[in-house]
Amino acid sequence: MGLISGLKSSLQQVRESLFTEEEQKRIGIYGPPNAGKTTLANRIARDWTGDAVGPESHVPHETRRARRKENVEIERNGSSVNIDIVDTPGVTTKVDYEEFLDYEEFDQDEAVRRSREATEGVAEAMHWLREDVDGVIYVLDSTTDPFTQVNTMLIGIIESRDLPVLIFANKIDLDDASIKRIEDAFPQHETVPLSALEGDNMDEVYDKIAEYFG
Amino acid sequence: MPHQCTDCGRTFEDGSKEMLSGCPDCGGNKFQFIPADAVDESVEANSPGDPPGRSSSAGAVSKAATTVRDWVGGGSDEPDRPSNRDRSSGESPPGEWPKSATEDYDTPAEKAAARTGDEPAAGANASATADTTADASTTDTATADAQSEAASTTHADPDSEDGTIQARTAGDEDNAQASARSDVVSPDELPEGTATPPADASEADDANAAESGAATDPEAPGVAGPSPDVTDDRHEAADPADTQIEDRPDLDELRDELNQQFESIKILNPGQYELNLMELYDREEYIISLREDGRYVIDVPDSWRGDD
Repeated sequence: MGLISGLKSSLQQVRESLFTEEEQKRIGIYGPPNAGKTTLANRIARDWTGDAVGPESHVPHETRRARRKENVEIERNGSSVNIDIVDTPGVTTKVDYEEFLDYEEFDQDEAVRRSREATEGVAEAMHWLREDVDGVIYVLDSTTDPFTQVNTMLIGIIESRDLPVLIFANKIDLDDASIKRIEDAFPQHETVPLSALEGDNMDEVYDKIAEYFG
Repeated sequence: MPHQCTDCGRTFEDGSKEMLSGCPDCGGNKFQFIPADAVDESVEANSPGDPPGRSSSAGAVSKAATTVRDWVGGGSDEPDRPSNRDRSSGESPPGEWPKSATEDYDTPAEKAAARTGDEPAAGANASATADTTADASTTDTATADAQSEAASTTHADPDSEDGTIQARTAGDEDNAQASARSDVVSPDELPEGTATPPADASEADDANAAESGAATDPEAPGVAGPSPDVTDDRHEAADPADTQIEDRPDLDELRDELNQQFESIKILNPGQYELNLMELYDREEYIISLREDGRYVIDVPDSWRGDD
């Protein structure tokens, strides 16, 4: 009898964990290289779990493998949403080791290796987008032109999958940031300005995350 | 569109990847190579079982010239035809005409063209010689016949190692026709040379008739058999066909896989890559590692999902 009830309760636990697993939304943080995706992921993770997701860097393609932070519980207005954050490598159509050579810390072999890993990272990011995300935070550097092939294509793919998407106009702490340029580029989606590095406007960020992905 | 499936007739552009794993329509894995200017003739020329009639001498002669040009020019404009180059470089001593150059011509005129092209020892201007000879041969069949005999006897021996050539001993005209007709099928199915009935005399008559009667009409009715297109085909189709037979079961998957691998990541140089995002997104398996030699390591969908 004890055995059976023990079995029942463990079955119940399994069912519950399966159920909550389903509830948990996996939110992919996508965008071109150097938009601040990891900085944002780290800020979200630090704000709500105390841990970081991965190292940030001014060097593009610092994130060359998707990293996931599970069970990030964001409380808003008395209720809470529970999400997994997937920080993905920056998506691009061309990777060239020579761009790493501009940074003095890399010799050619290291630059080639980084380049190869970055390419693998793009493949991984695209794979996750296909298989494994329930919503997308699309991070753009608001100091750069958002009208790029990569942005258009990725937003198009996300739209074709009917995934909820938020556009984050990052780096608004910089002088040449233009939120409007990003809003104009993707008027069909909600654009949220922020500085992940400085923590500017993070309240609205979490409001929108709860609203869109809760 | 120089490549054509010999089963369903679908054509492919030169350099097309679609046919790498067989015809997407019918699954056939025998293709013939048709120079763009000969496409119109290919359909009639394509039935191996037809009686050994004569195709037009105009087509035949131009084909002879074209083929001679291919040989002499090293086939530089035919990137998809490695077997041509292999044969010409591997089996013929320098200065000697490659074996299939003589046997592939199914009319005396063609042989004459090839033969005459041979005598300048494949010099740089041999193609020009071949052209002029080809033109001349349409009106001078007697000479052509004589030369073809000479050509075939000269080159009989080096050919004996190739299965498609073994019938040569029965007579040059027969063998040339036999190989021309049968090379749309695999060498295993090649009939014995003696099974190809026409004697030398009747062949010569046929050739004369064709050359005098059909010179202005490349599509003359009843001249289907061994057209130049079929002879050309042997270089393209017969060899790859053998190696592809065991691939038949999963042709569709293989084709998709090939196409996707070609397109999703292009490795320009080590460390320099171009990515096709749509292809990367669309493919089910997932590239987890790139190799410097251009290969990928991929994670196939089953093991991916098994992890999840």
